[in-house]
Formats: sequence, structure tokens, C-alpha cells
Amino acid sequence: MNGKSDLRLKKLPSGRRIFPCTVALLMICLLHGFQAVEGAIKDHAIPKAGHQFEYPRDFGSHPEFKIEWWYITGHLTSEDGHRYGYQATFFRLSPDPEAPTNSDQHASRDLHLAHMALLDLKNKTFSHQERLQRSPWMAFAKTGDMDLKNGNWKLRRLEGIKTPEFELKGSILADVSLDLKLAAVKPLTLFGENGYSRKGADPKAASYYMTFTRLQTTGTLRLKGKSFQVQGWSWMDHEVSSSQLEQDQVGWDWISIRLNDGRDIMAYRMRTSDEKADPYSTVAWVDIKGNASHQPLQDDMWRVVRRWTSPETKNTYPVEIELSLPDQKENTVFRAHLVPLFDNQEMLGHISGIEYWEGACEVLDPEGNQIGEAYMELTGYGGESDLSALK
Amino acid sequence: MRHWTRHPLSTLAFCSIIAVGVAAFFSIRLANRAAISGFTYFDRTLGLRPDLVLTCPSGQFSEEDLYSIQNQLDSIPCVMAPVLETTATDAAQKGDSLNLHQFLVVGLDTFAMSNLIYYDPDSSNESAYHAWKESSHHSQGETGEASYGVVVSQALANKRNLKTGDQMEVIIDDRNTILSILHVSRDEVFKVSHPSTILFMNIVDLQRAMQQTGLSHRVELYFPPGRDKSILMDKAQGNLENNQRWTVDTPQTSLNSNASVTRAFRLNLTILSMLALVVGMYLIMQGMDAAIVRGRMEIATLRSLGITPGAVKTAWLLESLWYGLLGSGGGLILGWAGAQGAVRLVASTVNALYLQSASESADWNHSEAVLALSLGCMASLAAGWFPARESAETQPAEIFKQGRQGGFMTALNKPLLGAGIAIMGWVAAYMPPYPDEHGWIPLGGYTAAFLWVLAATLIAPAGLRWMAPLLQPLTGYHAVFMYAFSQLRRPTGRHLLSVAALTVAVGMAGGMTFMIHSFETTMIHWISQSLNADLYVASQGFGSASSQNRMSKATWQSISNHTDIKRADVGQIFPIDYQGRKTFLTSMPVSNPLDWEYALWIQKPSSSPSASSNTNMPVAVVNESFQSRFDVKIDDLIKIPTPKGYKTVRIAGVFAEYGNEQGTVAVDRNLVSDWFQDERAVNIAVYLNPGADPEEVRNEILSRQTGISIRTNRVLREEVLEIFHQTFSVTHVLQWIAIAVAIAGLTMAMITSLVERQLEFQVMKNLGMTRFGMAMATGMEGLACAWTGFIFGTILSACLGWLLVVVINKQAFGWTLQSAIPWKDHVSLLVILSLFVLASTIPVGWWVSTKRMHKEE
Repeated sequence: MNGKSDLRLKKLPSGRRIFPCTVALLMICLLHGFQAVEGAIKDHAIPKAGHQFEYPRDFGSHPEFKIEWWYITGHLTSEDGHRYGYQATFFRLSPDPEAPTNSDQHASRDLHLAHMALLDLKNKTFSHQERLQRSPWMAFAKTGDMDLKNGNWKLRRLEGIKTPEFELKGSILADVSLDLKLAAVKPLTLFGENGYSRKGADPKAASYYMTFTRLQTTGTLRLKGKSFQVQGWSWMDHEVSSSQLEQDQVGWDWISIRLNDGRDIMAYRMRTSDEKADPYSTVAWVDIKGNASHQPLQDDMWRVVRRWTSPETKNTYPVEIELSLPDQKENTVFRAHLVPLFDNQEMLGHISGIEYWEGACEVLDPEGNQIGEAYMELTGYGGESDLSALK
Repeated sequence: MRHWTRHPLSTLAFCSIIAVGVAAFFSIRLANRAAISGFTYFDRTLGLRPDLVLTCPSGQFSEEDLYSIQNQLDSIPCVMAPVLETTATDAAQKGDSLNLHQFLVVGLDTFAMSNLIYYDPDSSNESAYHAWKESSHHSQGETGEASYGVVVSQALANKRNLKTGDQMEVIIDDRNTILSILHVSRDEVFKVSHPSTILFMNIVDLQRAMQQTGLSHRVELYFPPGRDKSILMDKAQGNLENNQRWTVDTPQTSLNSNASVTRAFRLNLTILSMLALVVGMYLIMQGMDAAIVRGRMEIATLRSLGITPGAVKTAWLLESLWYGLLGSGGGLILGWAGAQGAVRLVASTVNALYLQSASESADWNHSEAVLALSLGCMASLAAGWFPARESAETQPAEIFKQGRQGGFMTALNKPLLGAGIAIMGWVAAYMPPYPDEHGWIPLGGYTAAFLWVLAATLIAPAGLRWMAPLLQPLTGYHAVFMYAFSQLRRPTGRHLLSVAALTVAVGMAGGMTFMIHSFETTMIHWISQSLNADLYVASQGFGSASSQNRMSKATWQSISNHTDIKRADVGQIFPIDYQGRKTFLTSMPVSNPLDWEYALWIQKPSSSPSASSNTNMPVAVVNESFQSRFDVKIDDLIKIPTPKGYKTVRIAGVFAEYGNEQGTVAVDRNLVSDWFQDERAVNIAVYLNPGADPEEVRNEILSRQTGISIRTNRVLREEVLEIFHQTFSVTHVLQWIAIAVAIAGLTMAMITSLVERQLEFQVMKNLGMTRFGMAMATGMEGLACAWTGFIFGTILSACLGWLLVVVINKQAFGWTLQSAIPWKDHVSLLVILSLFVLASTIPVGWWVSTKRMHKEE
């Protein structure tokens, strides 16, 4: 989600790792009335290098950490050829360590935020909803395995460890619902040093970062009383952290690309206040076996082609871009044109107050041929309030 | 119209009678509606209203229940929000009165409800939820008082000039609590506004304030908007129904549930509110006849000219209808205005005896207005029917004949028929009550009451003839009295109707007084038997069925340990649903019911429990209302819903109690505390050591304990009776309206009768009777009518009183009352009636005697 998980840690040429600020943390800060985010870390666990990932345990929740999230986006096609895009994100945030947890059971409970969106290209509609729960009967993130709930939104692992199958159920208000099976066809990709992702110079600023870049997706969509089968591909991030936002970051642009040749790309551009990509901006290629290779992302690799202004929020987002990325495998420059399937894919965080753009895109080569599908996330375009929240 | 312009006063009088009758009916209906509709679960929220509400038979949801509900909802999208409610006493009005101002405090799951902004951003009270989120809403003050954030209504803010950031002090349970105003909720256009008595808090804050972690009383479900919303709701209802751990309420069932609790009370009020209209019908009938008498020359002329009887009848009925329409229209306005006052009386009774009512005003209701208007018109048409028929059917020659004695009205003089109907009523009184889903309806009792009123109407007029021989020996043979009594020997139809109306008014009003007096006598007896402790301690503000203030365990333990206290009986009460109906579970301070000093036994428990085959089963005793409502008997096993599941107990005895009509089942306190995991006390009955001074102990405890009130035995008894009288305040108003209408009717009858007898008056004057003498004769004539009505009304009231006490009350409320005749009230009524009749008829006699003889009439 926007905030989704955008916590991506990439290895810079200098050997430094970077952690983009996350909308997730921003939202939670706003909702939870956190006044001293910096102080929050001291009582939560800190990701450490050399962590031995164990599955399915690490698919599940890590309540000893302050924040974690599970983020899924995907492109779907119905049997009659209509295209859809979707996003589902589940956040878990442990309480403020300064809350009176000893005497108050409620205050010690995790907070659960979630986002869901569906793009219906046939009807040119974008539906979305945000949810916030604190009660354990309404929402939970179980330990030991992936089993998440936020009202009737559910995400859980069904079977398999190396290439597992997941189930995602959700709805948007009364007239949109989805029931999907997501089967991994590539093994898990661990970003950073074997999944340990440093986020800054401070060794405490780090995360565990796991991604399934290709999930074969089948299931049912129900729109306005009519159910139909769909299939397609999805992307899933799971990240665990107790970190904080960088002071000089004003937002980020993030993409996940699934190329037709079997490779995937994840790239993000951390924006500084002068609208430049800061040194932590990264692009990562994921090969057909799920192995990732990281490179720094320069400003000239990410060129904005077109902007779109939201009629709702008046925010202007750079929704259409051209990428020029070094392709180490081919030893060439990979050029691609990302075109949104629909401009108005803006998420309005009515509860959190955070606005961002999270949209399904088509990936074209310089000749205009479709070479893949993508999801792009654009955050920090909501003005000063968003900026201050990010910090 | 010509009649209206020539006789505007009588026209105004007819319309006024109907207006008063319609107003009484309409105002009570509106007040009833407001008192039960203004506080359903569905109105106690901010912004959007829930689509479904789950309530629990034990009154409290456990966390396990909440998980189960979520599992049942499965994939159905909805916002699920637990709600907790309590009452808070306004600390600004500290005192010992049982009538302290109380707030209804609603604890909302603001986290869950903030999701509603996606359902309807316009209706969701977004700003209120943000106010909660952005504020640190719980803190501890320097003086140790807890402080919480609260959202108040616009009505309260206006009333007390409050704004965001202000603070108010209340008592929740037995603790002083500071509430800091986070937000003032906006009034919803075209929807019921929040009354000034409601406060909204975050549920977690309220749980903290009540020291009851995890407690919730109901669960609200909000379904997302869209074309599939109704499908989702139906599916959810289907999944959730048929689970004995909770009940699914819709807005309508919730309204019905509240309505069923107060049904008997409201039904009685509605019937009583029709009293003025019933009495008024006699007067309209009489007035219409007077108009026909005045117009009989015209009728005869019209008939001679060939106008058909049907046309004449239609013309008179149309006139009746006009009276009905005009009077009812005025009645609606009067009634609506009266309802604003009546709603407070009704709501205060509902608060004291039944549920928490937040109603402060009665909204106009179209269907009630149409009903009242129709009733007024029908009453007017029915009253005009007989006079109109007579005017149409009587031959012209007969109509020209002067001095007719009242035509159809003399048909009232049928004592034998009346006696027959009275016997039918007696049979009906012994019919068993009609059972429905909410309890028993005393249909036989109501039928008997109707038949006896009808019988009294037919018998009482005959009594007028007996008055002259009865009074003559007492007054001597003075010309004034002889002239007055001569009228009684040949009474006109108007005399008969006046007597009938007075009989009905006195009878029905007296019957209610009989019942109230019996109730009061029984209450006093019950109080003297049951309230024997020296002191009664309760949380400040507790004093009614709707109050939820409790004392913490620490508080009651501290009081119990006082050196001057011999024994302290801790009382608890929990509202529960038994067999789908609301009732109460209360605690006995003893394990053996025979040791319970509070109980005034109707069926005493056996002293040898071994007589029962279920000796190991926990025992319970039930009050009479419970026994009657749920048709249970000694040794029956009943299953009581608790947060720990259903608990089976054996009924060991039945005791008298008049605190509520919904029934009470009492079980050993240790069991109740364990079942509900709640040690808080509703009250403590304190027995002092010999020689200890109650006042001194009271003052000593109060000096170190805040948030509680302590009443001595005497004060408590007085206050119980005060609340008792308050609950019948509406009844008294309606009774006096009926009496006033009857007196007005008698005055009208006298005016009409005397105007007709002007020639007779002229002759009397010529014979030497003074104006004073004629005025006195008129007064005596009126007094004789009034006394006749009073005597027969008294007989009717005794019958109706017996019916109310022994049949209707027992069947509807389950209370056995001790009959007591309200002699004092009856004598007062006789005196007041006599004075009013004299005051109204003597001036009429004086006025008529000064008039010149008119040719026209």
C-alpha cells in the first residue's frame, strides 16, 4: 500500500543500506497519537544481521517488533478478458511503550490498519477502503504462520513452505468482494543481507524484508451482485521493523515490475526536499530463481512523462514515467515506459488522513509493445501535513 | 352555519369539549411514543445508526461472545462495535434526593466506529472521532479524580453554555469523575437530536471509569452501503439468529422490546386518556340535541316543504362532523403543546420504573395526529347520530309540539337493561387473561369495565327520579326546593345525559383513585415489613430502575467494617432476558431464603429443603410478577442467563415486591457475583449495633466516603412514596380533566334547560319568586343532578376499582394489592364537585331569571 510496505532496503554501491520512510509508520503515528516515535524503539526488538529465517514462523507476525505489514498487489483478468488491478495491505503496530500496559489490557493491544483497493478497468472505477481495528476479535496477526484478519479481510497461508499457497479474502463496502488463491511460482526473495535490511547509519535502523515477487493468482471477484472467475499475477511483501523515518525524506516513488521474460524489478526513488533522488534510492533485479541484485537509482533513470492532478485532493502525482535502468544480465540499458491503466487510483485515507497513489500500470518497451505489468506507489504528494507526519 | 353565528358560545363549547378530549388523547399518545422511542439502542450513537444490534440475555457480553459473533459473521463485511452504558449523576446537584439529574453515558468503540466514515462521510461524526484520537483522554487529577474525554450534545452545550475544553464533574458509580469536553456533537437535521441527558465516551475510558475491564452491554453492527447491503444484512441475521447467547435486534424489534416493557403502563394511560373523550361524547350528544330543539321549527318547516328525512339527517350529521373537525383540529394543537409537558411526566415514570428514557420533548407524529383527528370526528359523529336520526324520523306535527321531554335521551332511562349488562360485565370479569408474546392482556377485565360503564349510563339516570323523594324530607317544603325538585320528577333528556356523564366521569376517575389508594396502602404495608434496616446506602444518584450507578467492593467493604454496624446486607441487581422478556436478577444476602428479612412471603420456602428432589440445586426465590409473567411455581427449575452461561436454579418461594412489574428472581449473592464477575453493589442495608445512633453513623460514614448517599429508614420510606406519587401524576391530571369536562357538561345542560324554561321562570316571577330564589332553585337542581351522578359514580368506581385491583392489575402486572377505599379522596371530590356545580349553576339561574321571555325559542 502506499504505505504499504515500502520499506525496502537496498544495498548501495557504497555499501550503505537505505530504508525509505513508510506510509505505514506515518499512519500509525497519526492514529495512535504517538508523540515520541524515537523513544519507541527502545522497548521493541531490533532486527539483527544473521537472523535465521524459519518458515512458516517468519510468514507470521513478530509482535516483539513495533511494526510490520503484509502487502499484496496484482493484475487480474476475467474469463471474458476484462482487466482488474487490486491492492491489499495489512498492518500491525504494537502499542506505545509509554502506554500504561500493566494495568490496561486494551492499551497493550496491537493496532491493525488495512487498505484494500480494486481497479475495474471495464467500468473505469476505482474502489478503495481503509480499516482500523484494535479489538482482538475484529483483527489479528497470528504468530507462527501467516494468518491475518481485519474484519472480513483475511490473508493466510494454506500450504507449502518454499513455494507456498496463500488465500486472500476481502471486500470494499457492500458491492465489491474478492476471494483469491495465490500460489508462489518463485521462491521467496530476501532483500538486503539475507533479509536483514539496514535503513541507515544507526544499526538499530533495520528491518527483515521478505518478498514473493510472483504469485499465480486465481479466484473470484464479485462486483455489484455478479460473481466471475479471474486469474493473474500478484506480488507480496512482508516486512518487520522497529525503525523510524528519515528526517530529510519527503516521500518516495516505488514500483514493482513483473516482466514477461520471467524477471522482476523493484525500484524506489526516495525524494528529498529539492525533489531529487537521495543516495538510498535503489533498483533491484530479481532473476528467475528469485535472487535479487541491487543497484543505486539515479535521477536520470526515472523520468516523469506525465502528471495527473486529483480532482478530490488536488494533489498532483507523476503517474507516467520512463525508466532507463542498467541491465547487468544483458549489459545494456533497460528502457521501459510505465503507463497507468487508469489515472484515478488515488487512495484517500479517510481514517488516517494520508493520501497517496497506488496504481496498476502497463509496462511498454520503446516501441510500445507490452513487456510486463507493474504497480506504482507515489507518496508524499499530500502537502505539508504529510511531510510533517513523515518526519 | 347560521346556527354557528347565532349561538357562537354553544358552538365554541362543543368544539372545546372535543378539543379537550382529543388533546388529552393526543398528548398522552405522543408522550408515550416519545418516552419509548427516544431511547432505543439505535438512537444512542454518534452519526450513523446501527443496522442491527445484538443484546445478551445476561445483559453482558463476554469476550468469548465477541469472538463468536465475528466467527458467525465470517466473510460478511460490517463494522462491529461493542457498546457499554451506564448512568452518571450530575455532581453539581449533589444531594440525597432520589430524583437527582442523571446522564446516560454511552461508551462507544471509537476505533471501530471511525471506519464508518467510508459508509457515509456526511453522517459519520468524523470530527468527534478525531477529537478522541487526537486527545489524551485519560488522566488523573491532582485530587485523585480521574478525568476522561467526553462528547456532549448540542442541547447540553446550549443548556449549560458548555464548549470544547470545558470540564464537568459527574459521579460514575461511587467515584467523582471529571469529564473534559472534546467535542460538541452536531444536531442531525430531520433526525432525532441528542437530548441534553446523554454523554458519549470512548468505551475503554468508560470501562476504566467503571473499573470493569472488557465489559460491554450490546454490540452494534453497521453494514456498508451499496446495492448488496440488504443481502449482507439478511445473511448476517441468518448466521447470527438462533443462538441462545444473544438476540438480534432491528430498529423495529428494539422499539417493540422497549414498548413491550412499558406496554401495560402505556395501555392504561391510553385508556385513561380517552376518558375525557368518552365523557365528552355524552355532552356533545346533549348539545346536538339542544341545537336540534332550537331548530325544530325549521326542521318541521323543511319537512313540510318536502325535504326528505335523509337530507335532514345528513345535514345534522354534517354539522356534527364540522364540530368534530374543528374541535379535533384545536385538540391537536392543544395536545401537541400538552405533550411537551406530559412527556416529562411519562418519561420520569418510565425512568423510575422501567428503562432509561432520554426523552425531553415529544415530536409531532402524523399517524398519531390522524388517529386523534379520526377519533374526535368519530366521537362527534357518534354523539350526533341519535339526535340527527330523531330529527329526521320524527313527524313534522310532532316536532311542532312544544315541551317534548328529550326524545332519544330518555332511552337512557333503562335500569333493567343496565342491570342485565352489569351482570354480563360480572361474567366477563372472571374470564381468563389473553396470552400474547409479551405476557397477559386482561381482555375480560377491560370488557367488564366497558360493560359496567355502559350499565351505569343506563341505570344512573333513573336515580334522578329518586333524588326528589330522598332530598325533600331533608330540605323541607320551601318553594325554592319544591320548584327545584319538581324538575327532577320529570327530568329532561339533558338532565339524564348530564347525570350519565357525571356518573361515568366520577366512576372512572374514582376507580383509578381506588386502585391508586389500594396500591399505596399495599406499598406502605410492604415497606413497613421489608425495609427494616437502620440505614440504606447507595451510590449517589441511584434511585430508579434505570439508574446503573454502583458501589465498588472497596466502598461497601469499608462501610461494612464500621464498628457500629452489626450487619450489612449487600444488594446487587442485573437486568437479564428470560424467555425473551426483560426481567431482573437480584442477589439475596443469605444462602437460605428463609433468612432473608427483606422478603414478605406470598409462598414461603419450605423449611425442610429435603422435601425437594433437587436439594443440590442452587435455590432462587421469585417475586409475584415473575411468577405471573413466566407462569412458574415452587420447585420449578429455571435457567438464568449469565456471562458464564445458563445457570439452573430451583424456585423455592414467592415474595411480594412492588418495585417493578417485569419480575425479579433472587439468588444467593455469592453465586450472582461469581456468575457476573462483578462485586459492585447496588445498595447496602445496614443494621446497627444496639444503641448506635443512625444519624451519627450516617454522618460519620459520609465524612470519609464520597460518591454515596445514605438514607435513614424514615427518609427512604418517604422518598419511595414520593416516587410512587410521581408515577401517578399523569393519572391525576387525566382524572381531573374528565371531571372538569363533566362539570362543564352539566353547566351546559342547565343553561339549555333553563333557556327552554324561560316561560316557566316568567310565571314563577309573576307568582312572586325572587331572582335569588330562582337562582337557588337552579343551584339545587344542578346539585341534585351532581349528587345523583356522584352516588352512582361512586358505586361504579367501587366496581371499577375492584376490577382494577383484583383483575386487571393482577393479570397485567402480577401484583396482589390490598383493597382500600379512598374515603377521604371521595369526600373531597364530593365537596369540590358540589362547590363547582353551585358556582356554575346559580349564576346561570340568576342570568336566566333576568332575561325577558324570548319569542323565538
